Formats: sequence, C-alpha cells, structure tokens
Amino acid sequence: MNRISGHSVLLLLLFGWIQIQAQQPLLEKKISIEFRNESVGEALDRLMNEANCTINFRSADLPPDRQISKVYVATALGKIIRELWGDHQIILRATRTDITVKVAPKKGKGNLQGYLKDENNQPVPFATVAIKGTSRGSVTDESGYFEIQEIIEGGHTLVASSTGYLSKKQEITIRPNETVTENIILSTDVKQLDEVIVEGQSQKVQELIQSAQAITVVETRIAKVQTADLGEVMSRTQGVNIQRSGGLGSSAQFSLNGLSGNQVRLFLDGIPLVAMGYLNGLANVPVNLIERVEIYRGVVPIRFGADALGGAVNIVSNEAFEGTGGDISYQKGSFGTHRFAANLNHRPKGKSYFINASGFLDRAKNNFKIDVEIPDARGRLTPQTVERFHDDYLARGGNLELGIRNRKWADNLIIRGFFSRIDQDLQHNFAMTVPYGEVTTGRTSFGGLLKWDKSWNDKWSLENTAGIARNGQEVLDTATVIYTWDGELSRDLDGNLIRRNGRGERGASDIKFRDIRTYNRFYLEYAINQYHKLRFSSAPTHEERAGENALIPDDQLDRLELENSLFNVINGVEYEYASPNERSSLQGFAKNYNQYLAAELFDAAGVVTQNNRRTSNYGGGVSFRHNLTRKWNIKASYERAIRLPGFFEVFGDGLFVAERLDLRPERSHNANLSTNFNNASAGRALIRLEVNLFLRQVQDFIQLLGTNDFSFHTNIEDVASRGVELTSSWTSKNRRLTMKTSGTYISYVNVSNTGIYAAFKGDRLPNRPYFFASYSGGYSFKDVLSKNDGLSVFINTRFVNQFFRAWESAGRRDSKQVIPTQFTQNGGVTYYTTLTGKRLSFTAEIQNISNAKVFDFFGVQRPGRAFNFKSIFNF
Amino acid sequence: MTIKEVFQLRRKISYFLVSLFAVSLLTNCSEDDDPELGDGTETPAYIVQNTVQAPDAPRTIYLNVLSDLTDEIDLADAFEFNGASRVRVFNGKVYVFDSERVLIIKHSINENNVLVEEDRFSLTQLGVGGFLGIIAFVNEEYALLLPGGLRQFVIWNPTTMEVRNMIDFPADSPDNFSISNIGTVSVSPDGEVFIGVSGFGFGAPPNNTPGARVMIVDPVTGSVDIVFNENIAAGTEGAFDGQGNYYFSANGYFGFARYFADPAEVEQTMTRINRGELSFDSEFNIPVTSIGGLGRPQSLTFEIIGNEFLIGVLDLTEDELGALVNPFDLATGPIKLLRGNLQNGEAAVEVPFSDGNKSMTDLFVVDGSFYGVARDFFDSSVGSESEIYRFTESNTLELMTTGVGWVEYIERVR
Repeated sequence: MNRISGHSVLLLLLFGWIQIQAQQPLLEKKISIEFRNESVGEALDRLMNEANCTINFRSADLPPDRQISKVYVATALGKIIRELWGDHQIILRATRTDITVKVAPKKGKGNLQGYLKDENNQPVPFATVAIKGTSRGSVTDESGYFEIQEIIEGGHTLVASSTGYLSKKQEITIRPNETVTENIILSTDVKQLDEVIVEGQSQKVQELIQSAQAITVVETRIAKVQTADLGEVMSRTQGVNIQRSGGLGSSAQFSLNGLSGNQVRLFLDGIPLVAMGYLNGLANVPVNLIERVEIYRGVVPIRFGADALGGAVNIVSNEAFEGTGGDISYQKGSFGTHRFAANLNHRPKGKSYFINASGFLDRAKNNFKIDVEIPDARGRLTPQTVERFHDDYLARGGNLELGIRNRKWADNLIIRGFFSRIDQDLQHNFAMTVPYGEVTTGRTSFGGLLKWDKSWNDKWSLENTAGIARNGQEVLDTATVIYTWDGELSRDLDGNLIRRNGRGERGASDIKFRDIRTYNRFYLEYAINQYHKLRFSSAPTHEERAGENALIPDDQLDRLELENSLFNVINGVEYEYASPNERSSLQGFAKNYNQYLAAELFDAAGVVTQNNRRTSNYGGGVSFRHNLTRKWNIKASYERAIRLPGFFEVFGDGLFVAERLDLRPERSHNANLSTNFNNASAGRALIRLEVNLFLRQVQDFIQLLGTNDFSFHTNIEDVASRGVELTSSWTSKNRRLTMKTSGTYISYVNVSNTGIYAAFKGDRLPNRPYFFASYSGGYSFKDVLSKNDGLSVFINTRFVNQFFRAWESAGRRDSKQVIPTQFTQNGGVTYYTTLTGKRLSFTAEIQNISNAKVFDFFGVQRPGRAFNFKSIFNF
Repeated sequence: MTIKEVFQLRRKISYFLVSLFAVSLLTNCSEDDDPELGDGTETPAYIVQNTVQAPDAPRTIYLNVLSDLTDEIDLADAFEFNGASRVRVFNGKVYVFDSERVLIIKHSINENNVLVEEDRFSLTQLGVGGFLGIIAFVNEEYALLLPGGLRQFVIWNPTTMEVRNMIDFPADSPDNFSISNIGTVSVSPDGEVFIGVSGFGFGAPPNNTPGARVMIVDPVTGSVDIVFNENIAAGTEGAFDGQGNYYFSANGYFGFARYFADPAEVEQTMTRINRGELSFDSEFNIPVTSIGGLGRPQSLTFEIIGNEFLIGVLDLTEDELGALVNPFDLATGPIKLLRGNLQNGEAAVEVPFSDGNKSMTDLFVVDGSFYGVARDFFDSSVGSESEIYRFTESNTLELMTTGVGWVEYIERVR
C-alpha cells in the first residue's frame, strides 16, 4: 500500500509539472541560446525557431546598428527580447503562440537640482534625495545641494530624508532637456534628536574614519548640550589623557598614546592653536564653538605642516551654512562658573559674500574646597578644609570672518580676525603647597588670517592660508605681604604683619612678553585620475619674542630684551591611492623639516653677540586601509616623525631657563595597527568596536634639567611607548539606549642605554597614567511633555589607575610618592523641545557625583562635587 | 657589723648579682638587634643623599642609610622625598628640608636603619616659596636657615621644631644678594654663622656686584656683619680651622675676574677673615694660581681639618676658562685636588682627578677624613652615576662606593 501510494505521489507530481509547463506564459518560457555578432533581426529569427513561436514586429522599429553577442542559459524569452532592444522601451504582448513587439513612444529626460534645508534655513548635508520608483537619487553635499541627472520626463515623487529630520515627499515634474530647480525644506524631528546623538557620526566623520589615516574623531554634538569642558570630553577618548591642575582655566597636560606637551601639536582649523587666539590650551577651548575634534595618532598628514612627534589634534570650528542663524549657549555652575558662547552665521541665498562671527566669555571663581595644613606663626600645622580664595579666571574672545565664494578667481576667499584676553589669579605653586594671594597673570592674543582656495578642472585644487598672531603675557607679582590658605595675612609671634621685603610671592616680577608669529600654509592637490592623487605642502612659520622685566633697573641688562627669532619651514609631498572598488586606500608621504634660528646672547663680557644656526631633517610615512568586509576594516600606519625644538626650548625664558642653541630635534618611529568593526544599519542595534595597537620609539627626547636657580633644555632620553586601546559602543535597536566604553593600557618605558636615565632603563616613565578607562551611557525618552520633545539621562565615568610620581624602581615601597587611583562619575539630564520652530535644550548635570578627592598632578586637588546648568538656543 | 647587717649585705649582693646576670642575659639575648656593639660602640649609620631626575617630574631625592661608606648605595632601598629637597644631620637626627612642601622634617634612625619621622613644621607662613637654601645648626636650640628668595634669616629651634624669629639682611646689602650667590656656611666655635657670599648673579654685569663678602650672623643676638673686599674675586667657599680661624677661598666663581675693570689686578686668593676688624686678613693671602690653578665654580669644594686644607681647582688655563659661557660647562672641566697646610699656605700634595665624564664636585669631612664625590657631568650623555672617594693618609683617592644619581650629601648620623 505504501509503495502504491508512493508511486501515485510521484505520478501526481510529474503530471503537475507537465501541466505547469504547458500553462507557462510564452514570455516566461526558458530559452538557452547563443548569439554571435548577429543583428536584432537575425537574433529574432533564431529565437522564433528556438521557442517555436511567432514574433511580430515592424522592421522600422528595429534598433539600428545593433549587434548582439551574448549567451543566454535558461533565460525567459521576454527578457531576451527586451534586451535585444537595449535602452529602447518596448511593449510585449503574447498569446500562447505569438508575440507582438511594439516600440513605446520615446520619452525625453531632464535634470533636477536644488538645496535641502531645515526649517531654520540651514543646509541639511549628506541627506538622501531620491526619485520614488526609480533608481535615480543623490546625496546632498555640505551646503545641502543635490543634483540628479537623466530623469525620465513626467511626474515623479521626490523623497528626501536625513537622520534627525522628518522624511518629506514632494511632487515634481521633469521636462525633457531641462534642469528643474526644486528646494526642499525638512522639519526637525525632535523625537530623533537623541537618536542623532546616539548614532553620532556625520558623513564627514565617516569619511575621515574610512580614510587610511590613523584618526579618531570626537564629535561635539553631545558635549555641546552637556556641561563638561573640552578637556573632559576628550579624556573619554581612547589613548587620550588630560591631567588638570585645578578648575576652569587651569593648566592641563594633554597626552596621546603616552606622548604629551609639545610632542602633540594642537591646531584650530589646521592652524596652530596658539596662533588662533587660544592661549590657555586645548582643555579650555569652549565646546560650543567646535564642530568636532580630529585626533591624528602618531601619523600626521602633510596638510598641517607640522613637526609633530606624537600626533596632532585638529579642532574644527562650527561649519558655516546657507542662510542666517546661529546658537547661544549659557552655562552656570558651582564655584562661580559662568560660560557663555554664541555663533552667528549670515550667508544670504544667491549672494557670494558671507559673515561668520563667534564669541565666548568664561568666568569662574574656582573657589572649591581643598584640604590643606595651615601653619601658625611658629610653623606648627593644623589640617583644615578651606575654600580657594585667589583663583579667579576670566577669559573672553571672539572671531569675525568675512568671505566671498564661488567667484572665477576663488572658490572661497576668507579674511578672519580674532581677539582673546585671559586674566587669571594664581592660588598656589605647582604642587599646591604654598598659597598665593596677589600674583596674577594676563594674556592677550590678536591677529588674523587670509585664506584662499580654488579648484580647476576637477584636477587641481589649491589652498593657501597666511596669518599673523601676536600673543602677549604679563606676570604681576609684587605682593609685600604673605597669605595663608584661609586668605588671612600671615603675622609673626607679636601679631605684626610679616613683610616680604618686596620679593613677591613667586619671585618678584613685573614681566611682559610678546610673541609674534607669522605663517603661511600652502597646500596643492593634483588628482591624476579618480584613484590617484598627489599633494604638496609648504608651511613656513616665523616666531620672534621680546619682553622686559620692569623690576630690572634701566642701567642693568635685561635678558628678556634680547631679540630672538625662529624660522621653521616644513615641506611635504603625499601620494594617495584609492582602489576602484573603494575597499583599499593607501597614502605615502615625505616631509622635510628646516629650522633657522637667530639668537642674541650676552657673551662673557656682557656684550650682545649674534648667533645663527640652521638644521634640516627628513621624515616620512605610510598609511594603509583595507575593508575586509562592508563592516570590518583594518588600518596600518607608520611615520618617522620629527619635532623641531621649540622657541622656549631653544631660547629659554630669559629668566631662569637658559638658551640652548644646539638642541637636536626629537625623533620617533610611530606605528599603529587597528581594526574597526561597525555594523551600522537601519532597524538594527548598532555595534562599534575598535582595537588599536600602537608603538612609539622616541629618541633625543628634549628635557629640562637644572637646579632651582638655573636650568636649560637638553637631549637626553630614549623612550618606548607600546600600548593597546579599545573602544566599544552599543546602541539599542530603537536608538534609545546607548553605552560606550574605552580603555587604554600604555607601557611607556624608558629605554635609554646612555644618559642620566640609563640607570632606570625598563622603568615606566614616572608621573604619567598608564591605565585608564571611561564609560558613557544614556537613555532617551520621547514625547515627555508634548509630542515634540524629548528627554535624555546620561552618565559618564572615568577611571585612572594609580601611578608613581618618580621612577618606579627607586625608593622603598613604603616611602614612594603615589598619585592615587581616581574614579569619578558625572551624570545629568537633558530636555529638548522646540520653541516657535527653534530648537531649545536644557541640561542639568552633576560632576564628580561622589565628591571624590581627585588629583592629577602631585598634590594639586581638583574640584569636588559640582552642579551645572546649561541652556542652548538655536535660531 | 652585725649578723643582720651581714645578711642584708649578702642579700643586696645577691640581688645585685642576680640583676647583673639578668641584665647580662637580656643583653646577650638581644645582641642581634642592638645597635650597641659588644665593646659599647654604636653601629655607625651614614646618610647619603642622592638626587635623581625624571621626565616631567621635579627632581626627587633618595636617602640611603648605610652602616659603612663602602656599602652599596641601592636606590631601591632608599627613602624617597619630594622635589629638590635637602638633608642635613645634626645631633643624631636627620633633617629633611622639603623644598616642595616647604617643611622641615626631623627624623631619627631606628635600629633597623629605617628613617622614622619625629616632627615637622612649616615655613610658608614666613613667605618661603621653595628652595630651602642655607642651613646651619648652631646648637640644640638655635639653627639658621636662609631660604631662596627671602632677604631674611629664619632662626628656628631644632629640638622643639618651631620658628623662633627672623633676622633681616643689613640695609646696605647689595640688591642682588640671593641664594644663588651664597656658598658654604660654617659655624664658629662661638656660635656665629659665617656665610660666603659672592656678588655674582646669573648673567653679566651690571647684574653683578664684584667683590668677595662674608656675612657673619649671630642667631642668638640677631647681629649681622659683612666683611667685604671689592678687589678680591668673588668666592663662596669657607671653613674653620682647628683654632677657630675662618678661611675663605675667593677663587673666582665662573671666571668672575673677567667682570672686573682690570682682571689682572683682581686677586683670586685663599684668605682669612679678621673677625675683629671685619676685614680680610692681609697677612694670610695665598693667590690661588700659586697653589696650582684657577678656582672651582662649585661650592663646597673647600674643606679644612685641623690645619690641613683641601681645595678643588679647575685644571684649566685662563684662556680655556675664558672661553666658557655656560656655567654648567665648568662641570666638564678637569679638576685637581690640592691638599696643603694652613700654617705655611703651601699645597704640599696635588691629586689630579680625571675620570672621563665625571667631575669631583663636592668635598666633605666625615669621620675626620676628607671625602670627595665625583659625579657625571650635569648634562651627561653617559649617565648620572656618582662615586664616593676617600682621601687616604697616603694622599691617594680610594673609591669607597658608587651610586645611581648625583650624591650631594654624606654625613654620619651616629
């Protein structure tokens, strides 16, 4: 029975297959045939024989001069016939045995162009614009411009979409041989704002990350909303550590993969930060004036014209857009902190001129509590917790940029001027062991630049920037009394004020410096073709300094009055290759470093003599990127990096640090190997993972040596830094929950075989963290108070493992000075909404939630728990 | 003597013998841990201060406690202190002058040669900003400190560890008197502190005030006298002989003579102070050149034991010295040590020291002998090793021990 049933089933299946074959439409009939250089008419004849049918057509409708050479295997008859007519549209009608071919009326094609903007008339870059139902589409550029060509005439539906905005459909009509202009306005989707923050990366950032360069990009969209300063924001990045000496305005040491100070060059829009009005370091640059921060890890592109030993950091200021608008932010926080920043953009439609302006005002009393010991008149110590009383910080500055664009002679011509002024009290010495009550410093910077760029024939593009900056500094230290930690004046055993005999708190000075820096940045690119590019750069920089110490009598020699100058010229050539399938890219470059110095020195008899010196060095490197899959790539890069001695290192400070004209440049072998996984796609949880291995082998490290009275710089050290950095992030499918972690382990080891550090070969470099990590997380809620708002809660934590202040192999363990382990947490909440179509956000944040006692340098205590409130209004 | 008295006497003798036995037993049991030797002599303890540099960090000092100056100086077994601190030993105590925290910290050394902090006090309330430069112990109640940047002496009590009072510089002191101009400090048998001062400041004239000075400070009465001779090249090294005479080596700090109007007339001399007349004693005036060379730039290279002196001088010609610009270049010059007799002012012995990259930088008197420390040059590309030598009776240099870092102080604690 079973066997009979089995045969029956087989017969039924066979019968069914025969029926299906018999009932299959003629156009779907599978045909295998090979055409060898045959005309369409010949091909149709053979098809009729092969398919055993009749194909009716008018000879006049046959496409002229078309020869067919192709092999079809089991291909539908209708498809073969359509392909014989190529791009010509035809209509096929079929009976069981006949096929009729009619050529459709020929339609014309037209083009579409326009701008995509938001409701504030701001461009929406990198958005998708597509013709519904077709394969035609485009992505907007940075100005929001799009262009779609060869659209078949007639009515279409245009669909525009971008993350953070509501998608929009717009009906358009395309006319043959015409270009239709259609501008589209997108509405901000407040519900998506937090998703934007979560997803993070803009198109530009993705381009940078996908390049061969060893680069990490920190976007500031989240930071602009929150209250952390740039130093703290950057310290959440793998490989980056920032050691602070106090609150807002305090000095900060930035280190990247173990290298720090001058070894990592800082830029603003490609120009050295100190030549752009920011004299107080990277950490104190207002976040709200920044679009993103690009961190180049050890391998620096030639366009910066930089002699960077351990990499470079380029701060990119807010980008201009078409229309008029801007934003204002204000932050108020503990310890008398007020931070104000504003951006204004005016780029009228249809006009070639534009104006950008930005400004900031930072003020803080920094009166946070610290634990100290206060001595009585006899020196006996009593522990106390006191508020800092002499640490006021006031910084203000602004930029004004005027430009012309899209002219025959320039794509962009920009003139920019800037001014900044910082006034700062000093509360104590570097180790927070001696209080000050009157010493102050002031710094003023102003200058400008002229930038011109132009492209020709999609082959050549040239960018040239020339500028000048004048930075001045005053130190006023003429106190005649002595302050104690509680702000009181010190008195002797009889209760009388103790006087300083006019020696000041730090050493009696009334000093003024001024540095003038002039520079030019020339950058030329030649595209050999779509895949090969050549670039050239030249970056001359001239720096000179003069000063005076008003406390030195006129008839005595003042070393500050000696005129010294430094002239660096760094040239570069770069080749870039991108494979046609975009899976691989390669960059190779060479740099030439020249330094000319002219120094005035006192000789032994007190006569001023002129000393000149010139050096020339070469370096170079290579970067490579390969996409293993669509989501996973690897990168490798190397640079033989050179850092020329800086002004202070060569000429000293005119007071306690002597000149050293024979300093050699620092040199380093820098190498990176990284892999990056990114599964970003719509409708799925986002996972990003990056692992980077790095090596830095530094020679001729420049070090300050000396006594309390006299010191100078010299080349004495070899150092090797090896380490691993990990970054991972996860974002939920609904984009509401996000988590990000990063960790860095650095083996930053002294490898000197000779010199004063040889005895400590194998020791970690002291006073530098070697293991640190951070965690960030957040969750967003939608439609909290209305249908057009949102709320996010967030937390940021940071861990820094303890490290020794001096060489680890020296000293008994029970007497070693240790910078203790630090673990800090910040948390807050942000509320978003719109007000008459303008975006508005409010953030409340607590920093150092656990009120941990935090130290970065020696015994210098950082702020405890702080409350901050910030509001941003976009218009 | 009654029988009762005899019994009492016998009982007392028995108690005494038992006590003696018990003490003897206890003494024997604890012999390994007791610093007292069997013959009643204390186990010696020497303190050696090492200064070490590191990138990005101020200098760090390390204190080794050695039982013998031939022991290895092992930094791993040293006590670490902040920054450019200094150390001095007085009355069996180790005083750390912490220039970073601006503290003076008193330590004792226990039987295991471990530093034990006893007390501390601060100087910040006096306006002291850092470098605790000149230190002199007068007696158990008086000590003197001249901090950098201050034109006042701080008088303090090393027993109670408190500030006593301040003594101002004399009103007519040159403006450029500062810690960088001051060299050795010696305490007279009468408790006066003699401080060698040069008028030389960093840089070139007119920042400098040529001439040699000795400041004489009485910490108890607060008096300050200055002995000045404008015709003598600046010098900073002084010491007392066994009779309480103060000798001063005015030997031309950094070729200082070049800054005089007529260098040929400048005396580079080893001279003596006439305390009563506040003058340099013209009867004792030994030109440095006559005893074998030009002056050493570094302080602490002039010491006296009894009537013998030991002085280190640069073994350079005038032209070679004149070619130097950077003061630290002086450390690269060869040196010779001259040992002589103060009675006749002659250098009887000349011991050249030349060890490639090392320079004999400091001289010390320890246990009644001259010791010298040879260190790698300041900005050496070779290393930072130090060697400690002892001058033998046969006038040779005996290498005692070596250590990592720059040894800057040696003293016996007990």
